[in-house]
Amino acid sequence: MSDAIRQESPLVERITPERKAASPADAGVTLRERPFLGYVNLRGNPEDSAFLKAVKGVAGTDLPREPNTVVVGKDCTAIWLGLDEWYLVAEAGKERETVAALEEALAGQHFAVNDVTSNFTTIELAGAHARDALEKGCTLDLHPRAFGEGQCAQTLLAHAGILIRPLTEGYELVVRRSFADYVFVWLEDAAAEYGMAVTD
Amino acid sequence: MWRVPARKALSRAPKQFVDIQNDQTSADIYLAVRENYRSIEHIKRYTAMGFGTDQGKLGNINGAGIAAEALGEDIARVGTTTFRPAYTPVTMGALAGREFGPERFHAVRKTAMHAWHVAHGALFENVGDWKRPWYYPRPGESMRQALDRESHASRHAVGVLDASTLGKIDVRGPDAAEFLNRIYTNGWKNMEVGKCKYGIMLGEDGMVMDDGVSARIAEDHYHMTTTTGGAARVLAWLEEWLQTEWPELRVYLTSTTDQWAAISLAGPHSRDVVAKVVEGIDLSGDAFPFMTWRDGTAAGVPARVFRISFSGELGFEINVPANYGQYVWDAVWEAGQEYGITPYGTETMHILRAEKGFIIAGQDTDGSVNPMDLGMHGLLSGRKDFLGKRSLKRADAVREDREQFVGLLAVDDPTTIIPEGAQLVRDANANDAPKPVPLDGYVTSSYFSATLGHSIALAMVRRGRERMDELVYAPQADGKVIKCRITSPVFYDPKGERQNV
Repeated sequence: MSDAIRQESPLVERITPERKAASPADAGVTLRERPFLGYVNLRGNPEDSAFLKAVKGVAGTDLPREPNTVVVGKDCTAIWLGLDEWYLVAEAGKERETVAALEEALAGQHFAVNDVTSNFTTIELAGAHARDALEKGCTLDLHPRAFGEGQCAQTLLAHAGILIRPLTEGYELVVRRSFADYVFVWLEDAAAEYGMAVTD
Repeated sequence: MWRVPARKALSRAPKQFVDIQNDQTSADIYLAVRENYRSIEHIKRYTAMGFGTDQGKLGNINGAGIAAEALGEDIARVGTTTFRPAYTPVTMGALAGREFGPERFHAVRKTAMHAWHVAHGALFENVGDWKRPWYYPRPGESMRQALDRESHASRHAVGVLDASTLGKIDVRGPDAAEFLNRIYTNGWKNMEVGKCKYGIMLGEDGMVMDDGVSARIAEDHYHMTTTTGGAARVLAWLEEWLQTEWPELRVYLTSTTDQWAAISLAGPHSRDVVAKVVEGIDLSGDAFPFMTWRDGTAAGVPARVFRISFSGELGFEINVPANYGQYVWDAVWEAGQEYGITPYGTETMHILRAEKGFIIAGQDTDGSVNPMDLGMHGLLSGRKDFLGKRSLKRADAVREDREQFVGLLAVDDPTTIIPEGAQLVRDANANDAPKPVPLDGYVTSSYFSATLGHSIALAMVRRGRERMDELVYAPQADGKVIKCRITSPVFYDPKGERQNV
């Protein structure tokens, strides 16, 4: 596709230069969107070594088999969603080649692969009070002793289904595109008492 | 001391409410004791006393006192139920938290083109959690005028609708055709790759649950669509059957609702607009006939283009990854200018489909309507089993006096819009007749049709199909009675010629 073709994040109306400029210097919560990450939804049988081998050949990483865990590879992060379902997350723009490579590598097997890049946007929430803000709308125990790096969970944030995983600093939220505006508004409100910065 | 004495026996006396949250009375507590519930915890559960949000803070002391009286015990021996929060009065605000106002009361879902709709004056309708453009009034225009204009453009030039909210499910695996064949009532196995088909799904009770068009992407691969509001329910329903009843079927389902932005074009100039935007597809009627789909690009973006129609007009639906939705919508908008492209919302969509007699599952159906009631006998395959099939043979399902899907026209003033939900009766003087008056049916959808120059309604009427041209009456709350003539539900282009050009 030509570079003139414009992609738009679902947060285009919310994350504006004006909003970034209005960020307090001493914010307790920092929000950063990582738009257009290349999400691929993969279904297949992890008991089948041919499937695992083919996927590793494309993704460069093993698929997580432990429920609610993540394997971070060099080029690709693999997120456990279910016994036979994962997201493979690559950098923006890589999704079509990932899909094509998986289709080729898995040809003849029973599998499903879908480009779901546009299905989501990704929000990173960090800062001293990121967890305090999230806990207002998420019933999971987000304390590091219970929920640390390498784990992930599919849960509700207020009224929106999300996928959440702890990062070295803060959390990553994978939000369905149509809910993104609602989630942003909710986070703005939940983080208001701590001050929320929106950054690049 | 715990209740006001009554002259009659308690069960016959005026009601003495104890717990006003769940309407428990003194008589209920006495009944519990007569049934030999003696522990206060059992009396609580038999009567549901103290089950409300106040957890008995308002009524339980009186309730325990009455229970003690009924048991002939001392109240101290009867005791209290397990004490639960809230221990002190709690304000409604504390319970509501920050979930108030239009933005946070509940989740709001928006399409990729939402900001465009706002900028172009759309008013919105809630459909499921989605905000869908309802109609686009111009300054000074009434709702009727806006709908007439949107309808006219879609029938005579080209209209564009944001159809992104439709549920989409990717169905894939060697048994995908067999799976759809069991889920839908019609046959799916012999459908060629590149084709689309309309299907209805039934619950196990044989009632229409959802409908939509699904397309065969490859031998083992389908793009299913569902209604906007039914998407999550249908996906869960399909997964339940795959996981619990048919684990032998090799099929994977993936929700792709948010992945695709869908731009729906309707009208005689829709092909001209598509031709300016889409590449890689031969758009001629022979190469790309009605109810097929093709892979191509739209404004340079990879696209699935469907030749389908919910308006009865020549129609196309361009699906692109939603991150490109606004970009492609802009290109379509630009390309359509010379043809008078007009955005239309759900209200005009409803009018156009009602003119054609197309149902909306959940509006014209309510969970008590089976496919025969809708006249959809042609969609019921006799050569295979499908979910709900056995229920269609129940005595009640084949009863001849069931309500059937028909059209209605207002007789005295053809522009009268018969209110949706209006009850229909046979007796013109029903307002003066002894009550209850036997019901003859009800109105499910009703609009003014600018294309036809009069109002139209869809209704479920007892034995409706054999009663064409008969009169039924819709008595109104204000005492007026609307005289209606039963017609076919297809008011416009009954042969379907306009969508096949």
